[in-house]
Amino acid sequence: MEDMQIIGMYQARDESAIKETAVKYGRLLYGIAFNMLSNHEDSEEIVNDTYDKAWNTIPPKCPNSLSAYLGRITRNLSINRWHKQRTKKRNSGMKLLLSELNDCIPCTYTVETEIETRELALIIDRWLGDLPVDRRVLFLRRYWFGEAVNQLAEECGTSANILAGRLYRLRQSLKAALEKEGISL
Amino acid sequence: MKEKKIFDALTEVREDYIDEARTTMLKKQPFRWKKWTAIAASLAVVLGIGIMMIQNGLPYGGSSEGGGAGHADGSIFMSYAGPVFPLTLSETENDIIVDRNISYDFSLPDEESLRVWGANVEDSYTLTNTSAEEKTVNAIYPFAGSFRELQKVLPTILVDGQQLSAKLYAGGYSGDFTGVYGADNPNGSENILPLDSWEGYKALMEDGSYKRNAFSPYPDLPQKVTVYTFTDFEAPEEYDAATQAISFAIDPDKTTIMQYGFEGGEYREDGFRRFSYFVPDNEQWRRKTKLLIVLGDDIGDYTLQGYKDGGCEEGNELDGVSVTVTRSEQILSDVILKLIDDFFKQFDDDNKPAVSQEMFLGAVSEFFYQYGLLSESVRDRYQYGMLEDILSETDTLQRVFYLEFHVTIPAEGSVPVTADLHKDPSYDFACSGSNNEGIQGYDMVTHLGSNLFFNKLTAELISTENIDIVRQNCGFDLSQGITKVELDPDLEHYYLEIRPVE
Repeated sequence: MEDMQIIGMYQARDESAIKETAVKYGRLLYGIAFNMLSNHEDSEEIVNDTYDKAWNTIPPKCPNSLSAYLGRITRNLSINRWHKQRTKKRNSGMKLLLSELNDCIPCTYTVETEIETRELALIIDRWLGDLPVDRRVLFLRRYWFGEAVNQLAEECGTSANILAGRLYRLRQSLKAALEKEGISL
Repeated sequence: MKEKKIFDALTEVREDYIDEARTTMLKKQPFRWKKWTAIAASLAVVLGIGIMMIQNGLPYGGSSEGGGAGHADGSIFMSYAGPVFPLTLSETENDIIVDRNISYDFSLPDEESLRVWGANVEDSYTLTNTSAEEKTVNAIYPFAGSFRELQKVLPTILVDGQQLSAKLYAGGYSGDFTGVYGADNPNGSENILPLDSWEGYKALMEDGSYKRNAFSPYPDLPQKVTVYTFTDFEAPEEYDAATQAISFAIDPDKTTIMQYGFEGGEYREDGFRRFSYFVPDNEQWRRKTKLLIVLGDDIGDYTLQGYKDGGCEEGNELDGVSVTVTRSEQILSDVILKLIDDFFKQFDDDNKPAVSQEMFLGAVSEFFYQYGLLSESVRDRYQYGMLEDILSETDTLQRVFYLEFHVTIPAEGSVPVTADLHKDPSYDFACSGSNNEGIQGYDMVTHLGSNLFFNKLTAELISTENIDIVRQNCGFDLSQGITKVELDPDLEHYYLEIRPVE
């Protein structure tokens, strides 16, 4: 079923919207959550919560991209869940992702105020826009969808080590871009 | 926590970048002969569970299509509903001439509807027998749709005002497949490539072979297969993602493996195979029907191994994971028939195909032979033998159906024949930013696939207060009250693009 039809069902308050969302995007959303939480039960709950949140926000929201809209909800719910549970020292997927993203934190000593998330997203947008498509896709497949490095390496036909090197250089590039903008986090 | 801020900002990046990442496969490293020949023997294509999430051949499913662009006649829409086709006969009859009138009724479906979506089409024909003898002909009415939406799009046939029970035939999948790398790999076939214009249907139907196939008996699946059925699943409760894997070696030239209910797989060129699934518990989302179907030489010895998660990696083994594996010999069609039943039990009854189980089995069999593992040119999309994909896509992919019925026309007399159908529009996706957003397209072809002689062709619009016409080649003028027009039967294609009035 097309996204427009599914969104139309949400707008018409047709509960089949949830079922059609699950059929089309259930695996995507489960994948995002599982990549971050490494826990089936939590991931399934997150996916169900995603459907609930979509149901309660469409309308008034009319997503341009249903998959991105749902994926964002899943990411947000996943990191919140991870924060609640990190004391249990599990969920290594998220822990690893965040430790890698630590490389992107700029060393800036000249900025007066911290940047807002939305502004930061715009700067990252610009940085992504300057990347060749393949590198942009690689970065987002790792840090947006949380796909494992060895899985991405398989797809590239390369080794996990080589791919990790590419990701490192991308993180350094983002860090340099943020520093160039004078960003403080 | 600063990295959390970057994580949050990343969540908010542009949606088109997210969609791009979701739908774009990463490019392979350039091919290097020397290195590759050295390691070819050990080269393995490993598919983790994440990769098995591939849906529609793209990393995370969905489909990426263009839209809003024009072609010679009307727009190319992101979602194309196909044209309304003309009536035809099973055999050419020179003594029959036909007048056709097609009406599009844009009435609101009910009082609470804000805008029209689709049109009720009355495709009317007057068949006149110019000979001195009564004639009984086999009339055939084609229409575009899928098994999934058949109940909605199935035309009602009336002959001389009486509703008839017509026999349904289904053509094969009407579209094609394409690679995930676009221009970099035009020969790939991981992705669905549905028809997006009337010209696509013209290419499909013009030489008559598509219709002949639709009226031919479906192929059988008489192959004897060895079936490994998995039951009695056990795993330690504390491991939520406990995974059961079965591994074995085959000679790929002698053995073909099909799978149902598995979530991970590893395929090596040396014949090593490993299939895995998350151990089912009492939760409904995990299907419990799990089969491996072996065509050709049996797999012989196999190893069962439990893992803590779907990665099935060395060092991550888990004790206490068990399953009962039952080997049986069956006929492939019997197995598929049971799986069809199992597959649709996951959904509500409303989603079952509105055709007999035998007909759907036939369509699945045809799909197998055309594109699946029984094809001489297996599409990349189906190379791993996941039967869920075959069943699901037989159900949902677009095709042309045919309704066949008899019409008796008296000597030098006429008989009216009408096909009443609901026609969904072609459209661009909501919020897509396309220039055609909100516009609904309706195509009609005048003689594609028909052997009838059309003497006169007219078209009319009903309930025009609910629409504005955006583009057309019919000649309607709502401002002048011109809602009925005469068309040229020799012009192949007419289009009407409207915007609903709210």
